[in-house]
Amino acid sequence: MKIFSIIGLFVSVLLSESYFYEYNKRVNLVDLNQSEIINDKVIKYYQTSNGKRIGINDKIILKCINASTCNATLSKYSLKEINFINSTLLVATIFEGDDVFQISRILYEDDNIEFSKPNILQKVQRR
Amino acid sequence: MLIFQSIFLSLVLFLLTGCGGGGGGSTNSTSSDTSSSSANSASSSNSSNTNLLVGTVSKGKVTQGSISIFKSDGTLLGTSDIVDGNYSIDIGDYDGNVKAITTILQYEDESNNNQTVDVNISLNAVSFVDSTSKVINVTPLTSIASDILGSDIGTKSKDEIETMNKFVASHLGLGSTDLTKQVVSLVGSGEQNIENTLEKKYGAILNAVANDSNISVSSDRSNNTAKLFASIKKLKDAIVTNDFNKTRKFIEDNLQEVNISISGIGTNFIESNITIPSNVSNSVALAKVLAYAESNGTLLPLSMLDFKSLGINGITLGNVNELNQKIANQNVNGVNSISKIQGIVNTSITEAINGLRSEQYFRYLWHFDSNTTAFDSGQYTLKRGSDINITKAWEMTRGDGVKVAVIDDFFDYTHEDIQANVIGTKNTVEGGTNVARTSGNYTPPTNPNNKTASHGSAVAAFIAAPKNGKGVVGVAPKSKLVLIRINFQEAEILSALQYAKEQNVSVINCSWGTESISQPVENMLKELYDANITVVFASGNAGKNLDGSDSINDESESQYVLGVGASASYNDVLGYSNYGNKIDILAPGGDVIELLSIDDTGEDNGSVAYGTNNLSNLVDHNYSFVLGTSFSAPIVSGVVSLMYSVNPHLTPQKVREIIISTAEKVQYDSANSIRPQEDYNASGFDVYRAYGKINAGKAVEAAQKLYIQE
Repeated sequence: MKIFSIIGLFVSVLLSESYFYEYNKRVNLVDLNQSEIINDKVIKYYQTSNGKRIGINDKIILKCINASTCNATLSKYSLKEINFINSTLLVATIFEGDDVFQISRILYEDDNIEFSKPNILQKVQRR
Repeated sequence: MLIFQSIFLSLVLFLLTGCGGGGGGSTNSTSSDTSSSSANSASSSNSSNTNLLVGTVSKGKVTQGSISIFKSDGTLLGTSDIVDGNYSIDIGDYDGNVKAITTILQYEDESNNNQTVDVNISLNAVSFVDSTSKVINVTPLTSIASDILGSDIGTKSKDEIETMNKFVASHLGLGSTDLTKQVVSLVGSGEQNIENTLEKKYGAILNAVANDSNISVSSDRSNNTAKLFASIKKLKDAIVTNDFNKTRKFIEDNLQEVNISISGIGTNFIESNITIPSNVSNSVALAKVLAYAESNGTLLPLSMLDFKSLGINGITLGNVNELNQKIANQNVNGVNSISKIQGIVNTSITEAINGLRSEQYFRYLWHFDSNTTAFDSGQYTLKRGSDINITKAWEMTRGDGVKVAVIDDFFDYTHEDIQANVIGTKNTVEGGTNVARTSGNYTPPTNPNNKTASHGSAVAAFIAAPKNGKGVVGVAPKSKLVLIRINFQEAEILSALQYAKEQNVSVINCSWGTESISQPVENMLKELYDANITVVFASGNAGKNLDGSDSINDESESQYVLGVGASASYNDVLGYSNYGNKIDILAPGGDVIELLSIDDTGEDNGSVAYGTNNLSNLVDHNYSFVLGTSFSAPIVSGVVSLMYSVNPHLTPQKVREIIISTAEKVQYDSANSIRPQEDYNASGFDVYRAYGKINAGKAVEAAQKLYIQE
């Protein structure tokens, strides 16, 4: 029985669309089917490969390779809002109903973008 | 066209400075004000080409030789023959420091009826040109100043160069005008006919050099050169040691024949037991000290580097003005030696340190002073030597002029013991500048005297709680704080780090972590590293081996940060401190004998270390005993702040090198240690103890020495 559970989980991860790329590696998440609303924003919860529970909202963190062409690069995509942290690093908000993983992957494939990934919400541990 | 200009200029110079055959007076004979020098006049008369650098070359009038002018980076600006003691070179619109190097093959010997002498000697001058001054005169005296200053003028400021030229002039009683800009007489042995007192003295001193060399008129170029060189060196030795008696003797002995009375040597400077340190920069600094004392503290106030190059410690960017004022307020005649200035500085340092040690709860700050008896009656023993050697660091700086960012959850930024040092706040979560704990599920303490519990406040106080007679004091009590609130979003962390960078902080403290550093955060940490900002992260309190699992990739392990673990009151690594091959350094973290900081958490009632009382009863509700690597990290951040204060040129790489090379190798304590016996490798690293415990005194001293060497 246990073996079937493990296989089931493995298959579900493979088929899952809940993944993104970071450090040029695919990062798979398991959907915990949990969500909550904080400040009118829906946060969905997932589990990482090491068992950590993280939240994902409607934001993507991405970095343009070139500051001067960043706006032109982003204009090709349907993004609700863009907030620059600095000249190349920014937080993009997607439209309601859009898939944050899918869009971050599309952006990741753009040659003018250095990295693109969902904005991770996790409790920062005081030490 | 240029050659005609040069010929014309040479003629003008020749007429203005007097004929070289001896006996004539300078045309500049009515004033002792050297600013109306013949060379300067030549410059102004040459208004048709404002790019011409002109000047006189004299060791006796030079009749055969050449001169080359170099920029501070060594680039050649131009060369020219020396014609009847003068030269002119078109240097374009260059503006900056220059070095003049001559090759003198023949000159008229004023000590021998102006007969020509064959030599092969180089006289130099280091000076500057700008739109108002394109005059550089070259003599044995400018050459002495140039030699003392050293060959690499690219590292010297205009101020340093001018000061050295003034120093040599002043030593010789030639006023306080830059030697390279002073009138140089070409009248040979007829100094007694010159009415300009300083010009007369200048010529007489050159004459003395000629007499001392005792060159007989001959064509023995090699022998003549050696004799002349020896005489110049003799005078230089007197100047560089500031030995006025030797200087006087040199000049008086060699002027007997020409019957010129030289007065004023050394009288413009205070004669004392000052000795000039051997290296060049110290000579420059000494010149400034002397000029300062002479000028009643108004002409050349000392810089941080001047103090330090004189071996006077306790000076940072922030307190230079304060110390200059103290020196100026003294009786000027009493501030005429390095030892007396050192005395003033020492008094200031003693007062400062005593002030810090008199803070209300200083006796509980064992991370500063493990000789405290405050815990002696308790159940546990505080091991002497478990502190970070802060007093030695405070002798050098208290963190003046450095900004530190603290990124954390909440800050009680109006707390009595940090408010004075908070210069900025930013809330990346709710927006705005309020970073206090005002919302959420937290219930504030009911005692109206209490302050709200905020992790960030306690962290910040370890770095820069100011000296105010209250509570505690930080490692760098004169550093300033920028407090930035984050919560749990990756985007907040990035915004916080970026904001800290924009505030021009030198240090960023992060007493938190995620054990899974994201690519954007790692990328941002590299940007901060490249921007010479040192970021410090706490390693965590789970007693975990951070190398033990591939899934752990903590912020404290990043190559772009200093990862900090906790050391104990028994002076070994603490069991709760996360460890691994990428953690760099330990600092006290608190254990059964906790560390004291600000903020009443109302949550931590301390231990039983103090007899039957728990620690929290020892202090009022605005203060709390705490433990964790959260508090080790800001101790390190405070030390880094002190290091930047004495050396603003530090890089994060250099900070790390200094901190790990000066660390104390803490050792296994059989009664208390949880970890195995220490096993530091050849690089000084132990996987549990990293490179050891931070030593503030040694780290700051090393940073300061590096600054002086630079």
